[in-house]
Amino acid sequence: MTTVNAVNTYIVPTTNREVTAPSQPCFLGFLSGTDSNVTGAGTAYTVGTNTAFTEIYDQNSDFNTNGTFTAPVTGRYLLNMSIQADNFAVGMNQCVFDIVTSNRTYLGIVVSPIAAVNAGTNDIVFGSSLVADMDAADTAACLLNINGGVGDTVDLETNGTFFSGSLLC
Amino acid sequence: MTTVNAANTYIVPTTNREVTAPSQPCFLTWLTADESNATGDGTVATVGAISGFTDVYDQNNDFSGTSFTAPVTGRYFLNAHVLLVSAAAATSLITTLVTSNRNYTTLSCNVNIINNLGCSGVSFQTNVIADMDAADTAYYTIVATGIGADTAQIRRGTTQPNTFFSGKLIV
Repeated sequence: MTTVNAVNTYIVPTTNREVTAPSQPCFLGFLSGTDSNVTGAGTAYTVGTNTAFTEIYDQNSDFNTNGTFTAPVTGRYLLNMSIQADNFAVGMNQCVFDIVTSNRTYLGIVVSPIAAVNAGTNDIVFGSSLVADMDAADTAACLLNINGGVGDTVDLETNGTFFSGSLLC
Repeated sequence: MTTVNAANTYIVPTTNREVTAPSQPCFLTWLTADESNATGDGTVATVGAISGFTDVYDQNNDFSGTSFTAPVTGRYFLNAHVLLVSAAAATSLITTLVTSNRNYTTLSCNVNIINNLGCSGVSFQTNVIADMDAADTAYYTIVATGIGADTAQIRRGTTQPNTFFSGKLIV
């Protein structure tokens, strides 16, 4: 059976009983390259602003390569964020990373002893995952803010920086 | 309404309007036993390679050994979690969710992170909605360096899962 509306196939069961929905909102984007000097001295940086994402897939075309996903319909959305940061410097004493949606901001983590742990050219990956309530036209994006440094020296790397999401229900 | 194909029920709404899909690919598996001496001197350890996994559930029977195999092309939510102990001297820790299309690196620290945090162990988690083609596979690896020998242990957890792997076909 294939379920269709007037113009589109939207539920596709296979003969083996799996069900796919190739028109359902669902996206995955990777940072397209190193994004240098984005934060470290308290700058709140939205990932994708200076260096765009590269889409791996974007069913329904709801993801902008500037890092913003826009919900096409009211529902519950699974959102997953991963940020790989490096080039920490002594003095950086707090790291906040958020998934920011129109309804609310989801705090990822705060790492206080980051100066002692990560002084030098070191990498760390922060991740967060949740099922968010989003209304039609609401947006979601990833934000990173590292404090305590004398300058915005922290870079983001492509391998571990990605953002994915899907409409669940 | 219950939606069926020729032989099987695959979408089951209840009278209270919940909808389940008991044949949809969906799995949760838990490390069967602690995996001692898994990594520490640069050895890339595939999680589950020593002890195997025990399925909590595996709708559609797509998980085997250490890997999930996609039965159909689609977008899959994958969630991998590992707890590594006896690794205080590690100077670098990298975990990777390996899929046929690409790898998802979750943490790489060129620091003595466990010592500096005063921890006896550290856990890592990867979540992603991955693009997988039919017959593509997914598994999880961890590599620790700087210990001098492969003495780090991947911990199962006794009553609560410390190392587990789950996934679901989303769309």
